[in-house]
Amino acid sequence: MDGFITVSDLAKTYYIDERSPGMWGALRGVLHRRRRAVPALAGVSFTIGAGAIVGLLGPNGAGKSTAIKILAGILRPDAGTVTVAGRVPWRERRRHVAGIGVVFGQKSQLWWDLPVAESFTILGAIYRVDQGDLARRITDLAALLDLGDLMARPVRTLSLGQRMRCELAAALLHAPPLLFLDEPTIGLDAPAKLAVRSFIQDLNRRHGTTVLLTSHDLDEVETLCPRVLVIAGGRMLLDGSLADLRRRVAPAKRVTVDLSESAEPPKHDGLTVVEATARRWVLEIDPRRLPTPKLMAVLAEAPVVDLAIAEAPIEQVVARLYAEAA
Amino acid sequence: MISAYFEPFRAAALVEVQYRAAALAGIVTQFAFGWIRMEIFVAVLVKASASAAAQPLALSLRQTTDYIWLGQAFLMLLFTWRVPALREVVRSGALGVELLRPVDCYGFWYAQSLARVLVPCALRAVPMLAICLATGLLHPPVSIEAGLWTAISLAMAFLLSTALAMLVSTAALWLVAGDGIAALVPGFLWSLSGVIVPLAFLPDWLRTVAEALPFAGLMDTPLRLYVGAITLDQAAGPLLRQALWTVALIALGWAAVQRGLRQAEIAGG
Repeated sequence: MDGFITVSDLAKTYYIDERSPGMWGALRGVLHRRRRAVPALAGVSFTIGAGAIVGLLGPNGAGKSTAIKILAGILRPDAGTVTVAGRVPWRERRRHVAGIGVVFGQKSQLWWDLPVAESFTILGAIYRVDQGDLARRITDLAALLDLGDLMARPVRTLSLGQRMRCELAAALLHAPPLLFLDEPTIGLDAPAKLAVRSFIQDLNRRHGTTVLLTSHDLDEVETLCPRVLVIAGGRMLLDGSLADLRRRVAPAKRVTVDLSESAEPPKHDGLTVVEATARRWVLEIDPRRLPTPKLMAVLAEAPVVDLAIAEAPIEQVVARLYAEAA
Repeated sequence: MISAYFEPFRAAALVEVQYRAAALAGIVTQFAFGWIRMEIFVAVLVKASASAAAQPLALSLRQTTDYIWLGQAFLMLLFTWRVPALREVVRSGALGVELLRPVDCYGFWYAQSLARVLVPCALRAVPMLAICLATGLLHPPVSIEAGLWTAISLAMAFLLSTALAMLVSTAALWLVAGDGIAALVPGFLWSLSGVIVPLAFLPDWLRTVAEALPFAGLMDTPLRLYVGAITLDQAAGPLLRQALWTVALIALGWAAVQRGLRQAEIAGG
């Protein structure tokens, strides 16, 4: 695999000064400081090839942001090696950051009091983008992200969704081959989320931009990322697809059966009755013990009117994975 | 290359230009205090020169009032500890975003800080100079050369003032309460820059100390050039001192920022 991003045994610990609450605690803190070590990453390794879209998942405080910050070159790890496009990010910060785009959903890189277009001009100069290229890219991005009416407005007057579209454009003015998105759709409404999503997909398809994305929106991760890395407690829990994850953590399928007349639910290995009323059964099926074709056979004699098979919601799957890790 | 720093400068300037009401209020205040200072110095100087044991004054009456009014016009040069650049960045946690830009952080922040010093000051100074010159409160410079050197010295004062502000606000990279240091600086600024008492009037030993420190370069040097208290053949020394302090504070600030950033890279900004 082409190691566009190579990370091995990455570790980072933060030290936090603690203080007891209240006046007494404050006074004591003057004399005696307690430092607590908070490990954020404890040996994480992975490789990402050029042109991939990879999702980075994990519960709050799992070390996702730490990993992104290290990869972006703005944080130094304690141990481990990282190369991104052949460079060690924190050793050559300026050269490294010139080739990446970053969107932090909770922070802005635009000039708050100035019109959007002005921010783009400044960023173009900072990234030393050729004037002609800049103008062309702004036109393209404005069309794709529907920024036409926003360009002349001061950033502070934009809604969150509008601002996020501008942030995406801002991160791409220098056409970086690598894009980091840290919760890019946090707080956005459904249409805005969909717009951002399809934009990212399109960018990846058309320009081969490598994207590393963190999000708590699992639908988003499921649609965007064929591959996910799940980090919890500073360790890698899973490196694969969400479908793999589902198979591993919560393989059970839920089958809802509507009946024409009341009947006794069937009994079989791998089949659990969750609920049985006069006209409906809700069954939980473990497909390893009872594959779907066999299930059909089991249900053949029942007075079935309708049948719905659903996989466990991804939220539940991930919650279970996090709980197992905790 | 240059535009990577010029554009942020221009952006910060554009933001500052929006605060015209503040500039107007500032002009009114600066006039009021200028008037009080003028009255006090006129009273003292007239009395001093009238007394029996009159010694020649360090600055003449006319030089003193010119010094006061020019100083009032450029008073904002001394308010630079209010430049929030770095403190704002650290406290808001936006340091991470700043580090994502492929520029030298000191240069990037310096360019923006310079605009934040220059623009508010210019917005007040230009109308004040116009009014003061038109009403005769302020006389034109003693010569064209003196005017030219004053302009150069003032330009340097802006660079120096920004460098000082950067150094002070860099303290925030170490301390959450960088305010403590920021609170100490104004005392030195006010007493040693000449804005309360022109340095020429200080006792010799204190004047020597004050002239050796960087604060004189913020105000006293350009003002004394303007009123002719430093003649042009004496100008080289003070101008050189001003330039050296500017370079020194920029170098010190740059080093402090590098150290601070290294620490922030480790602790997580």
